[in-house]
Amino acid sequence: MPDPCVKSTWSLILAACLLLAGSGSAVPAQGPEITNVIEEAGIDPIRIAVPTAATSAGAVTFARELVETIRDDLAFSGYFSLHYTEEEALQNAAAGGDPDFAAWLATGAEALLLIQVRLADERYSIDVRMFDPAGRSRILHQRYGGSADLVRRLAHQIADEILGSYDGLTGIASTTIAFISRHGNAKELYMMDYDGRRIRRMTDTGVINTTPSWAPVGDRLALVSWRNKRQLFYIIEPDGTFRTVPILAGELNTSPDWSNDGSKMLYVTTHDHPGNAEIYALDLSSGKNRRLTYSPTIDTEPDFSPTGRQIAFTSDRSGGPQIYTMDPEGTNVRRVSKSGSYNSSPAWSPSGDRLAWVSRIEGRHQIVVLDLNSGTLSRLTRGNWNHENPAWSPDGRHLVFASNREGVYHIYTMRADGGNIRQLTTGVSGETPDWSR
Amino acid sequence: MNRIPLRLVLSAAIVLALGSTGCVLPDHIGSLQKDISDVRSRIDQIETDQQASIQRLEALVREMDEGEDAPTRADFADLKLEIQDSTRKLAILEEQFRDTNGRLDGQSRDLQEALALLRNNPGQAPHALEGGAGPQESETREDNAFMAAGGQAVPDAEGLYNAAYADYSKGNYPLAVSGFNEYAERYAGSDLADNALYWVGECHYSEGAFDRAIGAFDNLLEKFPETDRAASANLKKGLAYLEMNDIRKAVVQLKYVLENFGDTDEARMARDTLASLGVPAR
Repeated sequence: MPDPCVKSTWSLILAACLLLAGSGSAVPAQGPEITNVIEEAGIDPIRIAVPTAATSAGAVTFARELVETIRDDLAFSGYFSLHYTEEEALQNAAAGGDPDFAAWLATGAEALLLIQVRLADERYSIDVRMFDPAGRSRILHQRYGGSADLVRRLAHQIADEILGSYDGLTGIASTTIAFISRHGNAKELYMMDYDGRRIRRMTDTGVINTTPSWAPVGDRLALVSWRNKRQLFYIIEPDGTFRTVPILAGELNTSPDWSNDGSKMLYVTTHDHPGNAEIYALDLSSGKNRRLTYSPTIDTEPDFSPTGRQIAFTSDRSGGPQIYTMDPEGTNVRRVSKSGSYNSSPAWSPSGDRLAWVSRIEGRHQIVVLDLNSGTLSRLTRGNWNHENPAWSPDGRHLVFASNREGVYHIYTMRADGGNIRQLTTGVSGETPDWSR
Repeated sequence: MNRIPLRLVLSAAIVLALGSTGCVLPDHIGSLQKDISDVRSRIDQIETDQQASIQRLEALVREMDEGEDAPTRADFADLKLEIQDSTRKLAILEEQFRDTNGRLDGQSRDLQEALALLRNNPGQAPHALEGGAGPQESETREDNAFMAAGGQAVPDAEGLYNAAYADYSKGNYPLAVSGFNEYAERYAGSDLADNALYWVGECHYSEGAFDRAIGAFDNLLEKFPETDRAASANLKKGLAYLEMNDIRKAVVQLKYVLENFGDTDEARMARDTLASLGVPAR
């Protein structure tokens, strides 16, 4: 059964505003739903063989975890698929110098990663070589070192460098996803590694916390919390302390979003008019607040573009929730979503050339993405479930989102073309995820 | 199915750069602009990698000096290879960057020539071709492009506008200015021509070139006095004066917005801005 308590951020804000305004008149108009969506072609991943590492005495356990993590990272990327073979003879043959390219090619491997781990004085030395069997060439050769407790971090670093060697982008294996999970009547902040490992609870407030938003640098994030019996913004520092954000607070305060340079924060409040949520910008260094929208309807879910020169947001000024953009001064408002009666939760891609949001299609909330270069709108998710709150990975290759496809809401990731959907949370539910930058 | 090449995507980009078709295809300019942007990103990445290699080299030298865990000759050899490889990649990318830039310039010239031909041969105007014949007719229709008299296609309006907007969104302001100006010139009668000129002002504003932004907004207001962007453009002029610390002109401009654009969000913003300056609205 879908969890009836978890709804889109837009729905929650609408409900809260109606309650605050004491009116039920703002019913979104029904319009035609999106039908002109285009299915993205999938990506055929590279078949990479990552044999068991050659190890010295005492390094077996470390090497096993290292290789497993690297395999997971590469498979997660969606750009590689793991290629298994009867590898032992090949591995032994490869241990000394260049591998037997012809033999590896014959197995069907398109790339080969050979790892050697040595232990000396409680320090592990890792030698990583990547080969192209067809081209009979070495693509990458790196050496790493560290203690046992760094094994996952080292593995993530290696995976990131492998991905970077293919297209020059920074990998995401060392990133963290923040999300909210329900505990009885409370909602607490959680974090996990990008691949769903190491899920850990970060708050124990016993109240409702929502919409975590990572700062662009450092380990800080903004959070909306009722911890002081009033819905306010806090910045959670890396040491776990809460710091109040000096916003113009109203009855409803939500949707914090940092600018990419960390100097400003967008937020939504009913400060000026109860029942009418508007978007404001806070200059974090001066503490000055500036109102950006003046619509008599609801404006919410602001999201800075990577350059900071545009803000995407959701507004029902045309009768139902639609996606708009404006400049950071609040002028030049334009409607971006052209079809469908319900569009919300916009999210700019890190490169600024794509905008993802949630669109109601055939009665369900699906994630779509607009390519600003071509003007093409593509549908990324499907099925008889809801998909909410998309957020991009820092490399723009993936999206994280919440979905009730398993009955209750969980956190999932997918490639930016909609492929390789993976459930990250197990044991705890998940909503409103945000990916560290 | 899209296929990720096993070798560096760089190789594919070089092939792309070398594989010029010699004619101006729909949205080709936008594609080239994207190539340039991508190459720039890769150059940045390689320069970062090089810096990391140099830092590792310095660390190795320090280790050697301290005599602890002394690096081997192989460590230095690998590092040298790494730096050489980065330098080679950088050289290739810089060459590709120059090449793509050159092609962009060439294709822009081609476009100008095609435009001139179109202006001089109205019978070859886009709509006249819809029922025409010719080997490229179906391709032309499919791509929503139109053909110049010389048989060369030029970008369609939507493609040109989208490419310029995508450049703006990515922060490629000079390219965006070029694209929007081109759109406003070529499609001066279209519904989006005034928007394109507004974006030119916005690009300059985003670059911090506030005097040029004011000039661009003035240009918009002169060419399209009835534009629905008038309130935004006038407000932006006032904000640009503020950024230039010309408070007197800013106040005059903001009061103009307040008095001439009545019940608009821009007027409310002008009022709030004046209040923040300690100036009464009336």
